[in-house]
Amino acid sequence: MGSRHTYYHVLYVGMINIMMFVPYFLIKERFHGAVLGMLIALAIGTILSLVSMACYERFPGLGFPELCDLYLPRWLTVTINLYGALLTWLPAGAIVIYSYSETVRMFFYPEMNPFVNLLLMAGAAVWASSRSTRTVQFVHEMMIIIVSPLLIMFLMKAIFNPGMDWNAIRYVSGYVSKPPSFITIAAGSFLFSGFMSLIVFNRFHQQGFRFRFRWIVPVFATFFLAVTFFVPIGFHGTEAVEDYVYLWSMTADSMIMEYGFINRVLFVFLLIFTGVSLLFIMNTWHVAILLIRHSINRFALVEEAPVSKINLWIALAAAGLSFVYMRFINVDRNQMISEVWLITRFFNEIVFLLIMLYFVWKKRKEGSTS
Amino acid sequence: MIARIRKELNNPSDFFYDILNNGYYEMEICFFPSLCDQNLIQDILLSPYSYNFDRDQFFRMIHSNPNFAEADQPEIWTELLLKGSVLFQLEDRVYRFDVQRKLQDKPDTTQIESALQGPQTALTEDLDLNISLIRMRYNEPTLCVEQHIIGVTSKTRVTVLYDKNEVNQHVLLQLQQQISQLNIKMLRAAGQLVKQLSGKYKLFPVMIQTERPDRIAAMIQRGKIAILQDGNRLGLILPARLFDFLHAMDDDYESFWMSKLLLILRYLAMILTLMLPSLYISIVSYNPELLRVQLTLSIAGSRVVVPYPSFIEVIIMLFMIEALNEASIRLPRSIGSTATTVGGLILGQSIQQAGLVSSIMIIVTSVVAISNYVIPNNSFSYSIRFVKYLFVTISIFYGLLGVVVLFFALIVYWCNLRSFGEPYLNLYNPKSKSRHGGGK
Repeated sequence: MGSRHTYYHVLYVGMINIMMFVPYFLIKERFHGAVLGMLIALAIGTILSLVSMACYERFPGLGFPELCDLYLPRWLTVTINLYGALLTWLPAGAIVIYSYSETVRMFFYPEMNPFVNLLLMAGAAVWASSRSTRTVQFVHEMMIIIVSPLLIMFLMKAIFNPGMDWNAIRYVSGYVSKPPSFITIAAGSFLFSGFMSLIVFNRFHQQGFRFRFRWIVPVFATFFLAVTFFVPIGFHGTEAVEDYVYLWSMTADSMIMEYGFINRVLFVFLLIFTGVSLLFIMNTWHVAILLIRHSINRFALVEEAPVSKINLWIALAAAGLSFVYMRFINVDRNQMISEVWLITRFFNEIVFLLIMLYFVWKKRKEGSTS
Repeated sequence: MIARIRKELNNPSDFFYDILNNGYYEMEICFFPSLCDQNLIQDILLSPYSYNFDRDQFFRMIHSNPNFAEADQPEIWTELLLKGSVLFQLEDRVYRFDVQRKLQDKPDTTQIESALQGPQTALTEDLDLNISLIRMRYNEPTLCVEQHIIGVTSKTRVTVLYDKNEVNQHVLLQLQQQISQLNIKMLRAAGQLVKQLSGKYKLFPVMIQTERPDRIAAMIQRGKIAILQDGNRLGLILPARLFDFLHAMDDDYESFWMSKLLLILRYLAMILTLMLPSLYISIVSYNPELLRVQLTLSIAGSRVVVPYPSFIEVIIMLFMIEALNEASIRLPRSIGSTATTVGGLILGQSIQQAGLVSSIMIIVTSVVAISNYVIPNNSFSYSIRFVKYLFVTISIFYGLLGVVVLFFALIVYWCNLRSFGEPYLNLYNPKSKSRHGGGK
């Protein structure tokens, strides 16, 4: 595995922010410090991602759970891993599967039962996330290759659209001097979070592995952060942009394609996000499955053919939870939960980085004594 | 000897046996005339025997010809006879003489995978000829030919060919282990081996069936393993990747740009044949607003006379085209063209005029059929044909979203498949990795 697979994670996590309501939180604060908050998020996100990647580079072939096993007592390992699985990765999948299936239901067939629609998404997610890590990695690559032509077309369309008002963007960026709000920092730094997948996917790296082109991470994330915040403002204006619930879907619907079979860019957008959301859900649940399995019996293989049944059971449990989640949640509450999740994730990332730094320090100490 | 053999073989009527005498020494001889090349027996064994009155000279001849060998194990006599050997006894010593009758002595011409400018030779149903066809193209001392006997009743000779330096050892080991565990009663075709070696319920083939020796040679050079067998003119290549199934031999022989363009066309055709019927259902029944208005209106206009939902239309037409496909394979060649004329032209035209299906659906059906023929590998195109129905089924319940999500699931399925431990769908297969175990 080369470094490119890590950048795939950065790419789709950078895109999935739309389903995590990041634009919503940013736009809400656009006159109250979102711009400066985003700049700070850029700085923090860059530091978090690059330092974490550098830490993982020192342990090629080892995932986070194995590292915990090396340097921490078992009970702490299990606690950390289960915390990560159950309170970070699993809810992320649940939030996205809920918000995406509700979005797509709203636009494709509003009269369909939401649970029936969720069944389709959850079925695909269970099937995909219960595969072996190697399969999951191949799927990332294939899906990114399939999605990227559409994505590039979509972004070009949005950025060079004559309907985009650059003055509105300039006007909003003028609020850069406002003191930043915390939620924008937490939300903005989410776009960098792709590197968190290394927690499991670092197992692929062979001895002597080095990340190449690591500047891609901040460049991607900055680009997506700018797009996700400024493009809706450019389309809807500084004030009206606040009025939309499905902000990005409406932004996509503001564009048309003159040629070809499809007229509304909205459908291209929804197609892209079917792929990206499924990727994200597959990945989060898969990481959760692996963390849980490591807590049970120290399972740490990347290739398993055929995959063991326990993967399927955990994935089914995750799907069941997403049904329960849908039963008790509506769009407003989902936004709230997403806010809580974004903030806890922000602290989690810092804690995980500190733990990694501790491991590196330990390793260096062992290296110097022995 | 003869008495014992006749007893073991239950005294068959097509068995020949005699005690010859040239005046100086006697020879007991027996063989199955239908299995042996009688001219060779005459030329090599019987003529010297009848003119050679010096017994030592005759023995010298037998010992100097590699086709003769001593058969000192009475328990395998019947087996040898059934494989087409001649057994003869001289002075209490039994000799065998291998003169199996060869039904084929020249290579076949390609019938399934024809190439415009590539070689036209194809494998035959004779194993030895096939091996020589491969050796002719892959002329390296490192080419290994391993012989196995598979099939309890058929005792078919099967050979495994690979380049010793290039081959992936893990794949080879797994294959040898699986071959030793094979449980086939009668091996008639390569497809049986595919089923047994790769698992019965795989949706997609993980071994390539090919009739082209040049493809086999090219694949052996890339470190893959070929399996040839007696009595079937298809060889197997493993491990296979998805991309191999959409590769036609012409791609190697034609100009770079055009062959790449054709390759892209093939992938597009695969996507079309897979998803077009289901997209038709989802657009007509779920999301007509997806397409631009003019197109939606013309589709709706062509459906005005059709009295039932779109999926029934699709099922009718797909049934028709599959039946036509099947009919043109089963019918004798001479009637085959009539079937296509009746089915394609007359039925296609009138079914639309009668208002049973829309004219757009006729176009969809023909695109599906034509695109399916573009796929170069037959078993892969069968798989695509089957998976198409999964797409149709899901589009009935979920419309466009179902199709897209199922496509994702299909990609996961492909990525999840392993062909003898090697990934089926991924972008790069670094050689060093695959040779040294892969994984971590």
